[in-house]
Amino acid sequence: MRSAHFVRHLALATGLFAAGWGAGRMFSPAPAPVSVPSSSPTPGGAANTNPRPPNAAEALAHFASGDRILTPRELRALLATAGPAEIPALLDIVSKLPRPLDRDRCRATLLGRWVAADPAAARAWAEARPTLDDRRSALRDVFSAWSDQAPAEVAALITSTDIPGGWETLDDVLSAWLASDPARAKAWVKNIPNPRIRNLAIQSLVSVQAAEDPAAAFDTAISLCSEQGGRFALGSAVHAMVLRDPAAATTILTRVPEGEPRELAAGQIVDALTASDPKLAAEFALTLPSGAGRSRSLTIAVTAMATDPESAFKWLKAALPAGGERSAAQLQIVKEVAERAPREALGYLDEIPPESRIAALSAILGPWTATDPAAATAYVRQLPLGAERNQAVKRLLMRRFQSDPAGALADLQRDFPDLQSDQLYSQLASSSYYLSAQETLALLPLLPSDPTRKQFLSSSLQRLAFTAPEAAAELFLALPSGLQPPQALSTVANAWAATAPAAAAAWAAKLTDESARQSASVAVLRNWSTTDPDAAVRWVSTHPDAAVRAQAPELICSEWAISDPLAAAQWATRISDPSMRQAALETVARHWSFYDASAAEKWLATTDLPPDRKAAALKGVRR
Amino acid sequence: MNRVVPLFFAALGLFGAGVWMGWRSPTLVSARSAAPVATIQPAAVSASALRQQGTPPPATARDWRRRLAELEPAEVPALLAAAQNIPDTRQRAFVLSRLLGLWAEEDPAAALDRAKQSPDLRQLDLRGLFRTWAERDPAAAAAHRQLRTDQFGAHEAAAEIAAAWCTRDLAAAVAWVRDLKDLGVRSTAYDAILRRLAQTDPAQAVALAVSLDQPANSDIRLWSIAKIQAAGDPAAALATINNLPPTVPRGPLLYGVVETLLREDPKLAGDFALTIPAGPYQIDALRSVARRLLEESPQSALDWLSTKLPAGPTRSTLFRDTLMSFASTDPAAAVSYLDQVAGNTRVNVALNLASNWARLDPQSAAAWAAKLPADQNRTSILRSLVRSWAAGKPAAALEFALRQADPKEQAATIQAVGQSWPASSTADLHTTLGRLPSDDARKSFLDGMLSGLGRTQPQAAAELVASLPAGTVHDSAARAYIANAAYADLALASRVANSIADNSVRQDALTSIARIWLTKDRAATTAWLATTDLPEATKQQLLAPGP
Repeated sequence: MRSAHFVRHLALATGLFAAGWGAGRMFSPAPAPVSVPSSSPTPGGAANTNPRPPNAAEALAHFASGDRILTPRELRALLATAGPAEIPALLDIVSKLPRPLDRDRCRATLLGRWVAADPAAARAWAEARPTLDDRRSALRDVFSAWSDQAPAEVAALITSTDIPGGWETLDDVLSAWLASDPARAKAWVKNIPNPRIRNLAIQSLVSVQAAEDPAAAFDTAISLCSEQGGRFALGSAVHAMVLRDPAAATTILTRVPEGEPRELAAGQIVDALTASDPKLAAEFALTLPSGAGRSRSLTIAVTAMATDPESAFKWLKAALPAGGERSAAQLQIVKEVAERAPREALGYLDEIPPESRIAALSAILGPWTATDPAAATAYVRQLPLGAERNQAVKRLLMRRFQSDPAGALADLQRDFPDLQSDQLYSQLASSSYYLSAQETLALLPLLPSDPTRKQFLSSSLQRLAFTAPEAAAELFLALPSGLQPPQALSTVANAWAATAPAAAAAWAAKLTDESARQSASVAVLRNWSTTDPDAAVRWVSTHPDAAVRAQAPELICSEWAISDPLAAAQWATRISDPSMRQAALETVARHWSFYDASAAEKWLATTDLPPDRKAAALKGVRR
Repeated sequence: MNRVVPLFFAALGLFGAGVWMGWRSPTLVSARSAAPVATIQPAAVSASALRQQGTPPPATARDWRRRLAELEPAEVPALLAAAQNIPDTRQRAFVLSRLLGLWAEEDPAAALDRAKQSPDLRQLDLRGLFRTWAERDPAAAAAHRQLRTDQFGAHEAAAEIAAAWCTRDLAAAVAWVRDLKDLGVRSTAYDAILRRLAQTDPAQAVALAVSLDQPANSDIRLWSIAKIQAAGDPAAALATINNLPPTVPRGPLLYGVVETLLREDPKLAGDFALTIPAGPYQIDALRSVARRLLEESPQSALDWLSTKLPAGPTRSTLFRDTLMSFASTDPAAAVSYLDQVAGNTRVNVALNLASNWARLDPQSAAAWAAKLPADQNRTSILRSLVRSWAAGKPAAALEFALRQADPKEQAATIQAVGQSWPASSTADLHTTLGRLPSDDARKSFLDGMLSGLGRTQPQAAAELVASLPAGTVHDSAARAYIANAAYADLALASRVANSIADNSVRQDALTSIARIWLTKDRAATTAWLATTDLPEATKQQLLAPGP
């Protein structure tokens, strides 16, 4: 009885609630065209409980102020319905959204919507972005969306001009085009007139096709194997085929033309096999004929096997005879382990044959020194004396010198005093590409003696000459004369003259030591004459050293007379200084007659060179 | 009455609650009424899709990008395990790095922690993760950048942090980079700052580039800044360059502008390149223009070089390089330009042309070579031609070589065939040698063959020499072996030299070996020298200290 009473009350309450729910639904505001997710927590930030805004601009404005009244997905869905006229204003608001992710995605949505209505306007907006990065990503969005409706048009556009973001979307464009009209897409790629662009497009086409239909992509690549792009593209098709059917690897390889295509394809097969079974990949690599392709393939497979080093070493011992190939593979495993866990890699040193131990130790010390220099130094310190320790010290210090040059020098002097030598200091100085002149000077007091300093400076200057010749030249001038290494002088002069001959010439003239000045001037002259012989001859005509002036014709004309005697001859006749002109004429005649004696003789007859010197020039060469 | 009132209010409350909840539950309504946008559903990007169950997994990179673009950061943790099972290694790496970058939008520290836990994830391209983190909090990202020990990861992380930081606070970003200990990483990070700054304030970027503590890449940085600015507005880039202080080198900046111009209008770029002060940057700029023109039409590139550039070493060098490129792809057409070059350039181009032509069409190349004046250059050209021909069709090349009337040219071409002769069995080789008309031809052939084989396979080369019957051909081959392979193995070289019958040739060979090996291993060579039959005076002379 009580139970029936309760049921009646419950039914009445449920009815009342349901009626209320229905009424509430009936009078609730008109739904906006968005889907609101279910009651589960909403990823990307939950929407608040305010009534939803009537339009996209308002929703965006809320988002921009950090007030998320919609989830990001809902917001993008709303933006996807925006009218073309309101899109520019919406894009402005989008650029103010606090989260970069929302900015990027909302912009892509709006541009996609705009492209559907007016692609030219959308492109124009993207091209007007103020920075290159913004322009590139906006154009990428435009091209990607546009390719859905007019892939042929977009493909032609992005390959005919160098629009930022254009090349990056070629895969997308071809993907869309292949889906809608594969025959036209392929024909277009094959007929691109510019070979560089055609080759890039072929690679893109095959790689896109390979993602959906590897066998068809393989046929496409084979049909285009006469082109470099086809040969390279074959790899992506083969890769995709083997991913789908690893057992077919050998059969697939036999269908690839021999030579470069097969070698490239073999590497891709091994790469694909490693995804599922690195050991199978290694076994496949061993079926390849000996050569670079086999070595590369084995390296790829063994690198993948290094996630389980014990098994990998065991397999190598069973599969390969002792010797070069096995040693290289074992070394590769140690290198791979060392990259992620250098200390763990030490445990595998015993697996390495003696001839590769030093290489293995070096491979371990590189990453170890970068992450834990103290531990790496402690380890090397306790190694027994000998060649292995010496090499290890060198590797350790070279790596350390990259991040802490002063620390590396201190380590050498404190922990390895027996290995200090001018040669090692010199190697350290050569090893750091980025060390500036000031940093080099700051290291000098840390070196044990002047001869060592001189050796160190010589290497530093030679290195610096190739990276920052002006800085090298300034450093040279800043050094006390006792520390100026003469052997570095011409390197510095040559390197600087190759990039800034006039500045190098001014520097060379400033050198106070006569021999240094002449040596640097000759180096400058030799370089300058290869780019601007007129300027070089103007400069040398007023050079204070007669010895330099005397060498000028030979230095300026000899190389040129060999490569282009006619031009050199014409130039030599124009030199106004008579003695320099005559010396230049002789030089040209000597070199020209080596390749074409009759032409040289004919030309020489037209010059004002005295007859005895003409004869001497021609005779000199014939001798 | 006492019971009715509370019941009434209870009923009203229930009804009101229903009204409120009904009013607040528009989800179902909009889900039904908004069909076009209902396609964007979390289910479409569920973990099951990544696991290739249910929804088919994306195939192309474009599909993946589109699917990933619908994910929210909070969904990432649940998807990572599935993504790690994507079979295609490249797709897997792509998806995982995108997922970690996405997660970093919400919780970069958690994303980084997750990456640290797995070696696979740690080795991924984590640029997206650091970029996102640094955009929110560069200092925090900087504090956590030491995730990876490999150079790639260290450089990329530093570059992303520096680029993001400099847009907020340039001075702080530069200060952070200056304190980076690894000099290479520091350089990469500076480059990232300059690249970003070049887009917003190129003049400031130039000023920073020339003031950095690392001068090594100053020029290339200037080139890059100009290129970035010119990509958007070449005129503005030129204005920036014109307004810079005179101490800033113009060459790399103007070259950067040319690099951008030449994509759209190579001839205009060429005209502009000619205004760059003479020097290496002008040459680089002109070379870029010539390369670009070469892509369109080799003839137009060569014509442009010969008409626009003044005579001088620069024109000679560029004309030669361009003609060489042309000769490598279309030697038959390039040959008509040979008359425009002289000196050793002409010889070098002709050698290159002959080699390429013989690879593509040896008969036509041979017909062209036959018409050249008979001199030393033609011999070199024939040698180059035959070497290339023999690499593809050795028998035909040998037949051509044997047809040469001039003895010098015949010897040179037979030697060239020998250089390219494929490795074969000793028996096959003896058959080939037997077909040659004279001992001189055999000597030339073996001389060519041993110049290659001796360097690459000294043991096999020694065996080949040993297989030859005693006589002048054998002795000549042994001498060729010593010239090419003596450095490889003292004992082997000694054995080959001692097999030479002619006394004077043998002593000459032993002396060569001694000279090579005394610089490599003096003690062993001294001991070996004592065992040879060289005259005592020669031994003493060899062992005497140098000047």
